[in-house]
Amino acid sequence: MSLKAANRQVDGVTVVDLNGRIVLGEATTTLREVLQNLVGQGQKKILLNLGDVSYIDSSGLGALVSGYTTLTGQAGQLKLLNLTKKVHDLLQITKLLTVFEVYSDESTAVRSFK
Amino acid sequence: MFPAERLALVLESTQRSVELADRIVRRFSMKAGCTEQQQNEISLAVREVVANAVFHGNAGDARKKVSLAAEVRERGIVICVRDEGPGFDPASLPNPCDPANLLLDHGRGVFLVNASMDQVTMRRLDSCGMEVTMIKYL
Repeated sequence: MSLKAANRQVDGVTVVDLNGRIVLGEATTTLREVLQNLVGQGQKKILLNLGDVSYIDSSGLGALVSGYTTLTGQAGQLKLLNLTKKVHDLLQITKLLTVFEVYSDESTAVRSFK
Repeated sequence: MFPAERLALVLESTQRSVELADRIVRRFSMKAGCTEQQQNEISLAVREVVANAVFHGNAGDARKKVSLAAEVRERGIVICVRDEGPGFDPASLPNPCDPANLLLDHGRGVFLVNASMDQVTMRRLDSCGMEVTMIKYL
């Protein structure tokens, strides 16, 4: 199953609703391109909604980290919303929960952006 | 499609092989009685090991193959993946959880294999290639 991404604006924050699996190949390419395009358009407050992401592998984690470093390198912010238990566990064992700000409520997440 | 007790595949050194191995081994583990969580953990480990074999071991060389065998034994599912590359020393891999490595966009594959399976052995073959044997207890 390919990764689908849809963007929407909420109070100055770009919320990206992702659906599918973020795995090696087309899906990670899609995610990297989505983030690069948003940064290219000057969007620097990005919230990735992972509520419908069923699966992430090491390549997908790499794409998330790459997005994070790109955004923070340009004074932007990348945060995560609605992790499934599976994805939460994956971020926990890889210690990436110490890197990403993670939210379970969209309004709270949007308000957290400076 | 195949008996639940044993499975053997020879895969091309292409990205498609990662999806193929994932799909077939997931079905094998389901037939073997694994829980959904066990299937997911096995699936992740197989994806990572086959991707390493294809892209790092065989370096995408179309002349080189990846072999995968899975078997149900008394203690669990045993999965063995071999490539035809130069091999590597697992002990030399940096720890991706080290704060200095957390922001790297690569280097988590072998860590996830070890975290997903109950027992993992990696060794260079005397002939050529790397062999990874993984066990998930049932």
